[in-house]
This record gives sequence, structure tokens and C-alpha cells, in this order.
Amino acid sequence: MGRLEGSHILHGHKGRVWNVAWHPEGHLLASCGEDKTIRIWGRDGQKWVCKTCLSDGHSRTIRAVSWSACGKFLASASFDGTTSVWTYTKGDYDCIMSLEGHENEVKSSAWSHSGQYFATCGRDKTVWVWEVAEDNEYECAAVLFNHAQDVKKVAWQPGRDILASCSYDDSIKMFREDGTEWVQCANLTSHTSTVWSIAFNGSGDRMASSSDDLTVKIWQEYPPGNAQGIETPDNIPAWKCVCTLSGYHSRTVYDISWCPLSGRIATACGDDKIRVFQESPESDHDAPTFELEGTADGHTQDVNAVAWNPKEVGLLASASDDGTVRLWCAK
Amino acid sequence: MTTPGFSGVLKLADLDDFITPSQECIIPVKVDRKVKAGADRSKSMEIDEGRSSKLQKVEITLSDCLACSGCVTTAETVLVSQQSGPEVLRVLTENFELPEIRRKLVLVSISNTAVLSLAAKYSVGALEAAQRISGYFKTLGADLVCDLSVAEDLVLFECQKEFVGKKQAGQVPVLVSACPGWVCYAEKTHGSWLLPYLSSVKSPQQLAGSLLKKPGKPMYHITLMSCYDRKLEASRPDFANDDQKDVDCVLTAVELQQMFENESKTLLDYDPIELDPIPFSNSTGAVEQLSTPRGSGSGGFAESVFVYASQQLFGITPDTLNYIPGRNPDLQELNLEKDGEVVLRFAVANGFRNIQNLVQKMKRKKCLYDYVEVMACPGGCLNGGAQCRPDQASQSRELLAHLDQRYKTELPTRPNVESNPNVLSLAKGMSKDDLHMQFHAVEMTPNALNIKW
Repeated sequence: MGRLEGSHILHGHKGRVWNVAWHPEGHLLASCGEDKTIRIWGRDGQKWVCKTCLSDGHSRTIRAVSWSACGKFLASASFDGTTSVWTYTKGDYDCIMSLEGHENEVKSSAWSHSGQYFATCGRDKTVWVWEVAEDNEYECAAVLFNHAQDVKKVAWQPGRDILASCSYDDSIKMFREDGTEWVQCANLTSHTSTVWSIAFNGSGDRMASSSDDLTVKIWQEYPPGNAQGIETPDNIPAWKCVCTLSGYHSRTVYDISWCPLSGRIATACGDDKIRVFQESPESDHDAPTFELEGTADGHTQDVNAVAWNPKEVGLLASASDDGTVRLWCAK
Repeated sequence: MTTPGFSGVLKLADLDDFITPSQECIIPVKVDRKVKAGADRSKSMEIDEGRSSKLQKVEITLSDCLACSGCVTTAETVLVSQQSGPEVLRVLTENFELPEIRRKLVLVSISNTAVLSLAAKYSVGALEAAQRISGYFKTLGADLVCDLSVAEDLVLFECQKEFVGKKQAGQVPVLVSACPGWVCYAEKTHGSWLLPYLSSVKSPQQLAGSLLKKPGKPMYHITLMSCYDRKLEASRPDFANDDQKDVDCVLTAVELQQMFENESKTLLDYDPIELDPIPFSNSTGAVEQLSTPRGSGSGGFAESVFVYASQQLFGITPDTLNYIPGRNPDLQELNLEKDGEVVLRFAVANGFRNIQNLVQKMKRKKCLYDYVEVMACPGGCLNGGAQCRPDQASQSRELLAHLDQRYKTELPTRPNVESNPNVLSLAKGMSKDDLHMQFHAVEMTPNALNIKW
């Protein structure tokens, strides 16, 4: 079907798998789920096998995993209200920190590309920015109350310490550091239902969002003094929705991943399918068009997450309610 | 100072998102439903939804809310109706209509932080603002309008003794508990392990209540404060005796502004009347009106206790106090060195992020402080959530700096409390219960129905 071929099915999790994340070197894949475990998968010859299963970090569902840009740290965000930071030492992963503070379910976490900051968000409607100190101490730098509802995901803009978050309140918000405070610098509101996920492109000047309103939107950054004459109040870059992909998804679009190598966008949908979009060759920069390149059937229940491998072009991982992690090749 | 309502720390402590009408409040609500058999005697039964008989209105009291780990939305609504400008007007009008002999004595305690906010709002001096506020309350029928200086000094005096005792017993850190937002967060979120570290001395607002209210004398006590969370504090069941609440109604600076505006008036429309001396205290040792203790605009806890403890524990009188800036402007440290060693570590930690870092450090046993002045609002009480808003939202930082400056320069600083004979004699006449409070851990009751992915 299309140009997306299933290559591996990874069994091991019991119950739904919530999230997958590639190590920045691309050789390891972390997954997590309602069985409260994190599994780390790697190649063994032609096969992908579970190298490690971390099962003692959380007392409830693990909703998301993320790697630091340096690859040394893995974070797991859990419904138990904590976020654990793991590091690989002497052949094993050790939990070096358990970040507390969220009142209840933590939904997502992400390290800034500089490694200086770490962000978490959750059901308590807040986004937390943590400053990573030298001795692996995490200091709370800000608690942002800007969202009116459950915050689903946090993501850092590549190349800059700008944080984006999306929420059950249908909005996407961005934050920057202003002196010693973190302040909101963008509020993107054109989705009409929960925004489940956001993903930046490789250079960070575009962002894709996926929503319960069955659409995917492409946002573009317009820096101060941009040639298009888009206004940038207070010399803060403006973000505009330049494309809406509608009519493709028949259920909620739970996750989105933008491949930094190929520019492809993959979506994870409640209709059990994965879709891959690519910008049209003749696309206008300020009003781009994207084409559906392929659709993948295979999962038998909701697809919760998709992630492009950062080193191997076309290698995609997905996680589903059907209990499996799958690997796909976009040809 | 942007959003009205409870401080952010409280909102976080009480969050319950995904509130649907049926889940708005998780306190079990008892509704008597009449079940009527259908006329045709079929098995189907109808539930009477109140068409033929009116269902009783369900009332949730504030005590229910405070004892619950669920949302705070209900508490906020209840408080707004129970402690509001219109409520004060209603009570005072009713009181005035009674024969004089049956009237309650109406007392108003005003805080310096709220006075400064209104002074800045209406561009007048602090003392003039206080006197015009007094004039306003007198037109409403208040009998006495006083500042909080005596209560503040009593609180500080007790805090100083408490800290020295706890330090000697090795029970540190001691965390200031005068901020009701922080206390509520501590009770609801961290519960029993954290509460023993909280100073048990009442806040000035509540101490003023126990000082002023006397058994057998019907009184109505209003306070004017900088913070909405004080309403919650005044409603704690602990602060009531025989149905007499220590504080009956908390009003805030921004609400007073609203009350003026509802009458199409400003503060300047009310004639100034001098503040009254605190009743029941003797005049020796009376302090200048609107005077403040040394230190921060949040009541100067860290500084007063630091100076006292330095003298008592180490025989050192620090001549200058060097505040060491922390990671952000809302964190400052104060150290006492003796023979090249730090013997006392104090901190002023404001705002939620610093509360978080403090609590997490304590949990990991990495907290080195002996004493921490903790306030939920960034900037402390001068930046309380119910201060008058700046004319433009973007000016809130400038406004805080302005209030801070005026607090330090315009209001006179009082001498240290331990040298005030009035405070000493008053303290002697008060019991431990008059001066101290208790904390109550609130058990979290996770509600599986509310969980959404």
C-alpha cells in the first residue's frame, strides 16, 4: 500500500504502547506504555530486539519518552506525576532523577537542543521549564499557567531555546526566556479541537500540528523584517498557519513527526493508519501544498505515536493501542 | 498581577481539569430523588427531575471545599459570595438598622500592602490613602479602623522565639506559614511530611482577629488585604470560636476599588479620618501608624528573625545585612558567619518555582536553610493577586518596583519588636492557642472517572 512498507513488528509491551523515541544517533529506539515499562530496542543482525526493559521507574502508565540531544539521557513522563531521567552507565540504565511537581499525569517531556533546558507538561494544565545544572540537578525555572486545559505535548524549536506546547484547549503556545522569566511569545489558535501533537522541521522555521479536528496544520515562522511584510510586534517572530491538510484523516490525529532528513511528515491516527505527506515539488513557500505520499495499514487499533529515525532516511517507528511497536520503510 | 482570583500556586494545588458539569465538584452530593411508578404499572420508572416538586438547592460549604482534594473552583465561587463588597454593604446596612444596643461592633484592619496599592492607584501618599480608606469604612458604619502593626509585631515576636527554640532542637528548616496560598498548597500537595516544618505562628490577619475579638462581644471584623487567598485563610474552621470567626470578611485592594467604582466614586471622594489606635493595647510603646517591620514587604519575617537569632544564638548583632541574590530575583539568601563558618542560612523564596525547588531540595535532603520566608506570589505580598491592577498589564513589573520603593522609603520602619514593651505585655496575656495554628494534611482522593488520556 502506497510507498510505506512494514519492516518489523516489535512485540513485548503488554497493553497499549503510548510513545516511541529514537536515540539521536538513530541506533536505539525507546518505547513506553501502560505496562509501566520502557523498552529499548536495537538491531541484532537484521532483526530488531529488545535490549533493555526498564520496569521499576514508575507506578503508573508511562505516557512518553524522549532522549536528550547529546544522547546521554532518556526521560520518561508518567501518569504517576513524575518524570524520570535515566542515563546509561556501566551497561545499564540508571534512574538518576525523579522530577516531581506536576499535580498529576505528566504527558510529555523534551530537552532543549542546547541541553540547558528541559520541559514537561501535563494534565494539571501547566508547562514546566527546568534548568539543567552541572551536577545533573534540575531546578524549576518556570511554571507556566498559560493553557486553560490539559497540555498534551512540549517540543523545543531546533537551534533556539524556544518552547512550544499544545493542549486540550485547542491552542499551541510558545515561550521564550526574558531575563529570568519565561514568557509566552506566540499563541496559535486555528485548530478547532484538541491539538495532540506538534513537531518542528529540521531547521526549525516550520512546525506541524495534529489535532482532534482531523486536520494537520503547517505553521511558518516569520522573523522581524521578513520580506513578506508579516508584522512582528515587539520584534518577536510571528507564526502563521500556511497550510491545512484536511480530508485525509477520518479520526483524531494523535501524533506527528517531521523528518529532518527527507522533509516528510508522518501522522498517527485513531483510524489505525499511518500517513506520510511530502511537500509538492512546485509548492509556494508562503502557501505550501503537501501531497499524501502513502498510507500504511497494519496496526489494528489507534496509532498513538510516530517518529522518524534521525539518521536513516525513511525509517519510521510507530506505537499503537494494539500493543505493538512497528518499523516502516518509506520508499 | 494579571489574573484575578486565587494565586497560581493554589490553582495548581487544586486543579481538576476536564470539568464537565457533572464533575464540577467531587464532593458527594446527596440528592433525594423520588421514584414514581408509571401509571401503567410497567417496569419502567421515571426519575422525578424536579418538575412536580422542587429539588432542594445543594449547598457546598467552604469547609467542604477545604477538606477536599478536588477542584478549588467551588471554593472560589463560595468565597466570592461569602466575602465580598456587596456582602459587607449588606451586613453593615443590616447592622445599622438595628437598635444601637444590639448592633455589632464593626472593626476594620487594614494592611500596609493594600494601602500602598490604593495609594499608587489614586496617586496619593500612603498615610492619606489609609485615612481616606478609614473615612470610607466609617461612612459605611465601621466603629474602628486600625492598621495591623500590633498584630504584625506579635507575630514576629512569636516567630523569633519559635525559631530559636526549633534551631536549638535541630528542627530546621522552619518555613514561614503566613502565606495562605503556600499553606494550602503544602497541606493539599505535600501533606504530613512537610507540615511539621511550617512555622505554627498565625499570620498577622488571623492574629489581629484573636486579638480584637473578645467572647461575649458581638463584632464584625473586616480586613483589607493584598491577596485573595486570605479569604480562604479566614474561612479555616480553626479560626473560629463559638461561631465567632476571628475574621468575618476579607476585602482586597482591587475589590475596594471596585466598590468605589460601583458608586461612581474614587478614594478621593472620601474624607480622611485618622486611623484608630488598636483597642485593648496600652499606649506605651505605640508605634507610628502604617509603620512596617524591617525587611521584606511580606512582613519582614526572614530579616527580623535573622537579627534576633543572630543575637540570641551567637551573640552577634549583624550591622549590615547582605542579601545574596539567588538564581532568580525571587530568591535571596542571608547568611550569618562566625569564625569564617556559616552558622545561619536564611532565605526569602517567593513564587511557585522557588517553592518547588525548596520543597524538592527538602525531599532530597539537600536543603541547607535554617529558615525560609516563603510567599506564593512572585515579588511577595506587595505583588499580591488582589492588588489594584496597573493601568496597562505590561506595567506590572514597574508597579511592583514602585510599591517596593514606597514600602521601603515612605513607610516608617519600626524598631525591633523585642524592644517594644507593649508587644511584650500583650504577648504575655495571650495563650499558645491565641498565637498558634494547626495544619491539616489533605488526603488526595484520585478519582478514576476524571482521568483522561
